[in-house]
Amino acid sequence: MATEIQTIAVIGAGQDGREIACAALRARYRTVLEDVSDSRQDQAVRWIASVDAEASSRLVLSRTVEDAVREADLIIEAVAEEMEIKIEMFTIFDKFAKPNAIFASTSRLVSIADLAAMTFCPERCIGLRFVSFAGHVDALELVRIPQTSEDTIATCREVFRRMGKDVTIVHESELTESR
Amino acid sequence: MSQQSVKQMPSRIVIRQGDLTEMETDAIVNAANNDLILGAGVAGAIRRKGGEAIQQECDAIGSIPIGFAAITGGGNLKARYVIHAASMGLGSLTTAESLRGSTAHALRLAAERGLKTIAFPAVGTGIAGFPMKECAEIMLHEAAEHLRNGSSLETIYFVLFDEEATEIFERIWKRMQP
Repeated sequence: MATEIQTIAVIGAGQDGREIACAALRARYRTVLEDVSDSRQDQAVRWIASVDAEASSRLVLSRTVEDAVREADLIIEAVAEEMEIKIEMFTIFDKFAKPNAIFASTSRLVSIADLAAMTFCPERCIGLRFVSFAGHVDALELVRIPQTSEDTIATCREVFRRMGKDVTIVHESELTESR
Repeated sequence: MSQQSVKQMPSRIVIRQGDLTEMETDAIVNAANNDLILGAGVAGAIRRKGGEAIQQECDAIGSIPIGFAAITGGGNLKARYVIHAASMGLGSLTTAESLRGSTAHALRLAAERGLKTIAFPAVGTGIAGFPMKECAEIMLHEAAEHLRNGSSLETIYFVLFDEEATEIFERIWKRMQP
């Protein structure tokens, strides 16, 4: 059973964020891209336009995390690798997101279990790891924790397949040696 | 100079990604040790671009206490001055207290000379091992306080080496806005 996703919010318009936003737009999802910096948002828009001008014309920009997540069914956190900032993001998601929204993180250093512990919905928390990142992401791993629900996994698997990604599921506990 | 309203603050603190040693501000700040020996990281880049004159001026000053700052000429740099913020000793790490003190002192030295612009790196986050987020909180707080109390400085730049650090400074600064 997968939940239907219509709007995806991407938090952070750096390299990861703009890649994900671009793929989401091209898969015809309503996509909101948040960043605190005008210049990074501009760069992201220009980069997406260079890949697919039509897709970039549908991008919605947001300057606050609160606004970006309000209508999103899937929230993807792609901010700088800094524990407290990521934790703060998950706290904001928990407060402002829709009741059934899924919270995903591209974190490599901060554990998904720690981020999920900040929320009242660890079953809707999941990690994303890009396997190939040389200019184009074509495969990714969904990183689950023990609490991640089957529905969350099925939903994310469907979303990223629609974006044209090769999806595999891994347990966070199996990744500890690479951290 | 009259006290600055909090409203004017955002535009007077500018965060950007780039090369500190290329800044054309009145002064750039060196992430220094208290013996004022320009070795690795930001200090090494300043020495390479600014020339040996900066190190010679530092040698003439000698050691300063940790948590303080010293000012020298800018050598071949575009900046007229280098302000050396000593948040660490040779072989000792940056602490919150030493970062706060050396940042505040660097700002005071700039204001005493009537400088209008200054550019800081993320002091202490290289070999001194200080966390980026805490660095951003402390340095941005000191910069905002300095402006609030009135200063010749019109713009305080934070020039960060990479996108991650820039984003951390920007997110912390946004959170500090009223």
